[in-house]
Amino acid sequence: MDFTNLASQLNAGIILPEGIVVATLLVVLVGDLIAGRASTRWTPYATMAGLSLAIVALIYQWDTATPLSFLGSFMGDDLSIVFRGIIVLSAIATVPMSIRYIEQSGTSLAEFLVIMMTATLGGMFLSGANDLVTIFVALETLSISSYLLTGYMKRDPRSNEAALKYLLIGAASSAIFLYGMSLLYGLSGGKMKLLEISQSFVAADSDAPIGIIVALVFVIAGIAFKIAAVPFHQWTPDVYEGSPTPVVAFLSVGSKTAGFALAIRLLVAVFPVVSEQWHFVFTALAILSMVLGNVVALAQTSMKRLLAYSSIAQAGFLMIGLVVGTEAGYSSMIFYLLIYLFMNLGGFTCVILFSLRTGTDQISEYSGLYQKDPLLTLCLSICLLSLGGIPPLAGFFGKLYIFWAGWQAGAYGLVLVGLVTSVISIYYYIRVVKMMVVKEPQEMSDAISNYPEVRWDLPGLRPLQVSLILAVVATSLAGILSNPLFTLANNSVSHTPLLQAAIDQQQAPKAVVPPVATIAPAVTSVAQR
Amino acid sequence: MELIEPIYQYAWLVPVLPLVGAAIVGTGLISYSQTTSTLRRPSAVFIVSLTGAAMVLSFLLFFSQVQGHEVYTRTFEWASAGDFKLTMGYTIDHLAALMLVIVTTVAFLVMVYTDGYMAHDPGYVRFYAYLSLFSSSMLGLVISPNLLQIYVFWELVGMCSYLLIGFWYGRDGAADACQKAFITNRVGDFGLLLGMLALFWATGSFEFDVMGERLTALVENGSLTAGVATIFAVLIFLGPMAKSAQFPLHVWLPDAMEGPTPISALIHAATMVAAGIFLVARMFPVFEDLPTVMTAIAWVGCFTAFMGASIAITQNDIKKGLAYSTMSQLGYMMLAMGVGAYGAGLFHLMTHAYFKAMLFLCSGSVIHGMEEVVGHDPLLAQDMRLMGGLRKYMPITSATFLVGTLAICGIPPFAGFWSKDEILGSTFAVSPVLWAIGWLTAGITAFYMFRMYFSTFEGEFRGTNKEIQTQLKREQLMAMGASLGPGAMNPQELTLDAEAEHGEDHHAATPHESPISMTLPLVALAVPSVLIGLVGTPFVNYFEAFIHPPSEEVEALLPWSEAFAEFEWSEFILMAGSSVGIGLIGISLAILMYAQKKIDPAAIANQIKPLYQLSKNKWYIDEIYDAVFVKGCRGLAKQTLTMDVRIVDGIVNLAGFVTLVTGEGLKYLENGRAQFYALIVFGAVLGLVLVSGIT
Repeated sequence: MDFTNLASQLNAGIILPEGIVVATLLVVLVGDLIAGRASTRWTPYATMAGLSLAIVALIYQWDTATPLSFLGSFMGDDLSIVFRGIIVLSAIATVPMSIRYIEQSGTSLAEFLVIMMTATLGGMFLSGANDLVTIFVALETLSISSYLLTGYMKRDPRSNEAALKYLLIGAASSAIFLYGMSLLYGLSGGKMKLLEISQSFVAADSDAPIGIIVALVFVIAGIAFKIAAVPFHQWTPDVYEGSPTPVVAFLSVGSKTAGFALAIRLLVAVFPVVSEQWHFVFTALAILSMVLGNVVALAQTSMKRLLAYSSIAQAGFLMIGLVVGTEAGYSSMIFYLLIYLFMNLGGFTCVILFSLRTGTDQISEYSGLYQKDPLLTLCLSICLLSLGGIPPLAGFFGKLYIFWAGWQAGAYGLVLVGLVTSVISIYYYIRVVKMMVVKEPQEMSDAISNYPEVRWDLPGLRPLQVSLILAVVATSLAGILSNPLFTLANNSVSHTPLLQAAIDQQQAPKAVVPPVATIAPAVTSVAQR
Repeated sequence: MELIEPIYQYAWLVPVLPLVGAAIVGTGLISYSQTTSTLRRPSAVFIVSLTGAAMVLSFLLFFSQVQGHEVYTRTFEWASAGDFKLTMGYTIDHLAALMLVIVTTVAFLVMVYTDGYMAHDPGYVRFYAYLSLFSSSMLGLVISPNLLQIYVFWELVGMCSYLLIGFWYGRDGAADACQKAFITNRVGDFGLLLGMLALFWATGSFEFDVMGERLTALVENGSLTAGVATIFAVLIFLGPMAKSAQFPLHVWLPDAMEGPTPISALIHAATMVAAGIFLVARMFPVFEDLPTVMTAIAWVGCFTAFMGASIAITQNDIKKGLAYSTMSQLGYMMLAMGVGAYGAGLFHLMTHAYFKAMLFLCSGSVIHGMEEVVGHDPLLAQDMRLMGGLRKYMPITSATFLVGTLAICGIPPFAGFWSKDEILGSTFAVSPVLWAIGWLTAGITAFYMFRMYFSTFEGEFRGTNKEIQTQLKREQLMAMGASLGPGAMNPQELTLDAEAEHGEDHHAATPHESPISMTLPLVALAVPSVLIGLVGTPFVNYFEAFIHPPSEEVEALLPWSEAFAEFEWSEFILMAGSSVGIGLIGISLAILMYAQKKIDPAAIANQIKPLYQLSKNKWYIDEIYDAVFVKGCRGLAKQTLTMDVRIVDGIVNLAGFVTLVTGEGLKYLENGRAQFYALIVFGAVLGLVLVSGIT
């Protein structure tokens, strides 16, 4: 009785999806302990089933009347649902990739799944976190499990090196982030909830004091580390190269999505007073990411490093949507994230498949792949071309919407940089495609000439094949049939009061009463109920 | 009336019947190529009978129009968007009925003729399919109720012409000629399209009379200056200019003679080239109120008439000679249109269609006969220097050719006399200068036509003369060598004689008369060539009463006896007498030079060398075009290419190079040392704080 009462007071139903993930995690963990190695046959499917159940729960929470839970610590609005959905989807997609990969490396699969689900959990909480403590705890849950995943190949020195680097840089950026949060706590006079902090800033009515700016930059450093924005990106290539490829796939999509969720919530809710400054900082980060990510990607020889730089550049494109701050901007960014989920994970699935069959990631080894494995070539080509933004694939429409939103909002410089750098990006994506398709049989690389017979009936390959086909189909069709996805992205923005307020403020910067102040009492009253 | 109405309701069958034939045979050719190609006779009979049916229907329509049936128009909405509507349909008026009859009769006879002419050609069935498609397009063109639909069929006949000129696509000459024809026509069609759209923009209609009325109204109330209206009209005129081979877009017509001769007769003499005249006639409501345009049309026509005739004098290829003659006659028609003699121009169109189709078919018959002797080489079979004396071997052909020649020379009472005389008479009333040129041209026409007749049918047969054959081949090689570049010793020259010897063995020593399927159409065409002119005599002009501009009222015709009494004889005798006179002078000259050989043509040619060369080289128009347009285009293209390679590619390559170098350079920031990464993180934080704190 008491428990039910407590649960309803806390509005704990909002975190039902997370609860399902925790339950799945426990089932897999305990099941593995009991069944031992035999559990590998069912744990991945149990994981996928549990995560899918979480998605279903998320769908049922769409447009919930009382999104605020745990006394205002967690916000289950539509925005967070979309981000949590993307994170869970990326986790679901990572599972089939990892089955064969982990099997082949001879480590335990169930532990991997458990750690990955923990990371997912962290990402999900981060997407909805509404006070400083929840944010930090969720962020660290995500980060620490990511470090563990990165170093999961215990016998591989590269994996160890990657994990250590990731840990060190991650710790440094966490430290900066935490420092920024403590500044916020102090400057706001001991407030923890995001909106309360911003209210106190508004009440103080000082014109962008240096303290808030320092706090802003420190917080951004933490976020930028998560989304791998230049100049906080340098861990990315090293970590991506050393870690197990499924982990890279998850990091490049799931972890990045969580970073963007955090960025939107934190910046929009806490920093309206210094919105000019944070827009400026993000503009700089976006431009640097687009330019550096795309340009350095040209010089890469390893496929995983190439995709690492590509993901840095993609984050740059995504930041355009964040920077313009209009409704179209936010929704095109969410739309692009959805598309990016399919095309990037599809690409990584192909890379994993290739390395499973040949044991290498070098781009030059891909030459002549078409002769031996046309299906893999086709899938990888579609994903890469979509990443490069070639019509009619999904990536083209994603870029189109983002650039269009940016152009409408008057961010001409950003859009131009985006256009120029996406032209550059097409070069390195197509280089790989050309390598695979165009080469004559005699120019075939050693890896290709010794290419094993294409078999899908090895354990763990069937789910990989299915997920690959699904990702490629989604990448091919999501652009042409983009309407449902785009409606979803639009609704998630228009149904979120936080973003609506920010958009209104952006459109009418000279409004006498800041809209945040008008919404905040309503929110707090909900919280106090 | 109950009997007549269904004819009009089913008038659309006229173009559709040949289309059905073309579609069925064409589908057969595409799907079951082998089988269809062997069904030669059935395909031919099928297509010819469909055309025959269309002809019967056309005649019915024509007679009903003659009896005074009102104009019948049926349209349906083809496309509509808001208040923008496009209609399609057909209209049967006097002009359309007349054109239907001309086109179907000539097409029918040419199809019959084709059976004999193409008997040994492997592309026999394909040829019939093309012919049928062409007939269908041409018939669709003449019954079009508006400019837009005319344009559609205009392009279709252009395409058919392309297909048929290049029928023997294996021959270089034919392949080049069909492209030349197509591209030259593109120039004109582009003008037509622009003019059409401009007129639609100005008047909001594609209907001829509506366009004319509104344009006149616009010019009158000053919302459109006369200059702009003139530009629109001239743009429209570019279309007829190309299609009817008027200077300066005439260059394709002589080359078009690379096509099989029935095509030359049907398309490039009787029907398609007349489409330009037809369009001018249709656009008459637009043109007639713009004096500048009318003058331009008259001068273009007059100049073309003279130029064509002057070139025809020196041609040795029988078909080329006839081609320039066609161009010259088309010039006459254009001249008539330009001076406002609408009826006279269309009258000449009709008479010319019959006698020129016949002349071309005669030339085909001659070539067919010559091929027996000299082999299937157009160079030899078409050259008049190898002919001569053919009257003995080909009596029907020579007789009909003579009829045609007399008709084109304007000797009464043959058809050409009446129409040409009417044109010259109307021209004199407008401008004596134009008349003088036209009159002179009539003399030249008589001269070159009789030169052609005498060289071909009279005198000794020279077909077996090896010397001339060798000389002809040498000339051709020299022409080719010249185009390849001087100084190159041609190894083929050495083998010439041996080849010539070898080639003769299988051939007959004398030509023979063509089969009945070829001579019958000749005879059939000879009848209108002689008689058709009588419907348009200046005494009682039935033709003028039937065909006149929409804006003009024509007086009721008088009975013959009264007409004779009231007719102004003195003027007629003066005009007709002078044109017949100069024609006779031309003929006498031709007799002296080519029949009796009293004057040596070579001597005269040497005396007026520059003029001779000018004529022989077709006024150097091809060379000028080659230098200006072809070389100019190539030069421009080369320069653009250089520009593209040097500057554009340079910039692109530089950009790519810089990007790659930057990428390679920045790569080294990634040195793998974690402490360095952390340093950058802290440095970046500090930098961002500083920058955003200061701004």
